[in-house]
Amino acid sequence: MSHKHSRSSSSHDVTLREGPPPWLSSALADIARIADLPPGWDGYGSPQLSVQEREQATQLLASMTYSDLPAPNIVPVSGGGIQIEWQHCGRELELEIVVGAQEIIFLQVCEDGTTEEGSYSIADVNQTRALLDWLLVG
Amino acid sequence: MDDAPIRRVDDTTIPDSAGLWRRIPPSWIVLDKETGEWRLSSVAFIDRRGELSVELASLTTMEQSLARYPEHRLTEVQAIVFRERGYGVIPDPLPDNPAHALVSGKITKTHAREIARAAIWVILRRPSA
Repeated sequence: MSHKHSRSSSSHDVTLREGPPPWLSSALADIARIADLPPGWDGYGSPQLSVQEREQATQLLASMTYSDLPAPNIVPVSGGGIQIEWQHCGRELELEIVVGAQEIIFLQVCEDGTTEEGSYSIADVNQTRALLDWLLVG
Repeated sequence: MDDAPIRRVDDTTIPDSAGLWRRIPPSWIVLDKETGEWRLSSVAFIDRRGELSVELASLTTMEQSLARYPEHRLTEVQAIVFRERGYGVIPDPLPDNPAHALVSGKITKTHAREIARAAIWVILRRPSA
């Protein structure tokens, strides 16, 4: 059952519906497709997605409980890792799971084109939630 | 002991206007949700192993570049696009690919996004729906 809660942004109140996003199954299928890419899939000798990376990406997506969250693009990274990227209302968010580092590197692109990037532990679900909040409400 | 990778020096004999080609596997072409158009993901210019492999366009052909990768696309970025962001361009010829070169320095996500948007398609095949 989904339920609602309100979060305030600087300019207005926004309601985010909680519940599994409708795109979750197709996103998990995208991860499975990427995991099936052979070694050297990029033409530059990159390894296959590891079992650990696949599991981390799956867990990250499964932890996203906003049904309002738009469908992401999911892409493999040369040298290892996987990136999940969104666009919403002129904002962009990239979350890259870095191979072997237990780390996420993020990029935020604001409506005016300014960017902010950084990294945090993959275990820090609050940071992931804060970034998704930003994507949805600014 | 410092384990930091050696930062190789930019080869200034490669002109700023030199075209650098990078092969693009289908999985790096994404649907832009706001424009509805296919575009290049920023990951096309990130390699977590360090330096980014490219080819000097003047030393190869589209056919040679894609000979072993029939599903891949090809993009071109001018050397100055990397240099303006602090990266170097270094020839790195390989036995089977004399056009091979490297972009030195760890490309940030912001820069990778900018470079992806500056890239020009040399060969674009849209992903099948």
